[in-house]
Amino acid sequence: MKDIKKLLRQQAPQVLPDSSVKDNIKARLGIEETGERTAAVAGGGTAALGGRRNIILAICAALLAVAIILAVAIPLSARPGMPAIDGGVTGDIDDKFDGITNSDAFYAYGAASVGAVLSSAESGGAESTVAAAYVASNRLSVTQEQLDTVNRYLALVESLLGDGAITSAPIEPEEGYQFGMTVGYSDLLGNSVGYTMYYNKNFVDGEYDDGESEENYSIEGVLIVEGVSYPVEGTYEVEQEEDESESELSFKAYTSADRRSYIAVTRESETEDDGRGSESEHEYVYTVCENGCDAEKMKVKYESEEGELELEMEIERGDVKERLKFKDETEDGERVIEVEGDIDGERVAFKIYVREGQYHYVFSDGSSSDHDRYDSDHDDGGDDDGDRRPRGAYTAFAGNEQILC
Amino acid sequence: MDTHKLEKYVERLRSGDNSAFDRLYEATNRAVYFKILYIVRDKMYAEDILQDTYVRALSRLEQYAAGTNFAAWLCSIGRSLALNHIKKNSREVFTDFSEPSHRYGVQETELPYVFDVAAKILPEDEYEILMLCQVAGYKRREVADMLSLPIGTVTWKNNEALKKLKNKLEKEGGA
Repeated sequence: MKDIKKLLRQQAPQVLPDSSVKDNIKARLGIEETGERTAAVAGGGTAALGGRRNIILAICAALLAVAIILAVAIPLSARPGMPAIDGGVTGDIDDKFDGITNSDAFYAYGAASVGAVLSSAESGGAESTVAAAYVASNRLSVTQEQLDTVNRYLALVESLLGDGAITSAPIEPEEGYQFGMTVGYSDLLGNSVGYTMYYNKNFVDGEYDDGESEENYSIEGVLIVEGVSYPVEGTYEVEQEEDESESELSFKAYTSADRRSYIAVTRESETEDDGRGSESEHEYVYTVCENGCDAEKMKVKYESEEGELELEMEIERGDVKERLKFKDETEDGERVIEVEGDIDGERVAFKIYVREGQYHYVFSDGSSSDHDRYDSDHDDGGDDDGDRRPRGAYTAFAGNEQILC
Repeated sequence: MDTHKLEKYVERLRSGDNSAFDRLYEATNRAVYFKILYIVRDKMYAEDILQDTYVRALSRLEQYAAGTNFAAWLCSIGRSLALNHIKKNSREVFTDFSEPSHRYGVQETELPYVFDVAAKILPEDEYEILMLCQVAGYKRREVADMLSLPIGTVTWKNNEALKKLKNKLEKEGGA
């Protein structure tokens, strides 16, 4: 297969359109050459073309990048890692997504992020800070359903934008499972959050052929959140060739005893090495299924640009599409989460200043509002009645009586 | 470039900011081009039709309904123009349509063999995905976005296309 790919790539220049085509179009449309010039790069996408100024900027950017790498990588490499579940390297995931390089790390991530959503739901009707801010500011007449959406995912935002790593550590297995793991992270206020998972890992099948391999694994077990035990299962498929690999991972926590309701997270990854370096892309998709119907789907993109983290969520509920972007920034030394997005076609924008014990909201007109974070002890500690089973119907999402499929 | 950003550039262009053209063109031209190339199977004609597509589309930008996938809109215009080209030439040039390599009798620039085979044996959607993933250099996620398809479908069709092409070339001793 890779011979075909190489052949296609090698002969691409003979087939792709000449650059003169663009010039001709511009000439025909009367578009003059602008200062902002771009060119298609061989590997796809675009690259800006510029003069000397751009070269100087590129050098500055490179120096800055080196400085950031040194600032980040040295402390990380100096930190002792925790033993991983399978005896591999550390279970720490420092930048939440990029650190997820194997199935165990993914399941730790899955447990932490799905656990965050479940935990938020478990706190049962606790008014979200964002929701409270909406109401307090009276800037928008949003529906309860929309508030619920933001509310549900704020816990996930906290787990992904919070300082430090998602950590995982093996523990003694219980409940008849082969493995045990605790996962933890810090929320935006620095509070520790932790969940427990017991599980079995199975090798399903594999194929090996002339340098190419395909392997499938699965896990099944229980995730304990706030003392409630949710059945979980996951799959991990990986295909590898010489210069590229693809993997698909899924993690599902059932929220009803009949297993017709669940929250699932999947990751699809591509890593390619085109000879000029390796490039990876990941897409995380959360699906909330209620009574066999997909009630909500959310794609998460996590980007780091110029030292600032950005979390983008695209949420689909039936025909309704919502988009929320959370930017982790620093303003005059203070931590700020900039939120903007579209809810039902209406633009929303505000800032959340993360302060000691509270969130301080500032709206676009300069008005502000302070709110305590809802007080919920996330730490299940493993000492609760861990054998509690999920309720017959998953009431956490039951604000929505309406089934959307 | 994701569709959200693409829409922003369309909006900029619509409001008279011509500097957005470069970005729009780079983000979309290869998808449109391969849509056309599959039909005309000739680089020179495909390039000419690609030009016509952008000129026509951008001259009537007000007809584009914002948020409905700009790349797909361009592709549909390119496809129509390519089919018109085929119709026009089939009327003008007498040719033996049973001979695939001279399907349209107007071939000016021969494509490399593997591309010719791909166009012959693959259905349009698989050809397009293969070209975008393997030749144009887009990531599968970008292709999925561009074609409004789930990424799993793009991956599957890309793999199917590669398998078919491999089998065909192996049979012919060309791989």
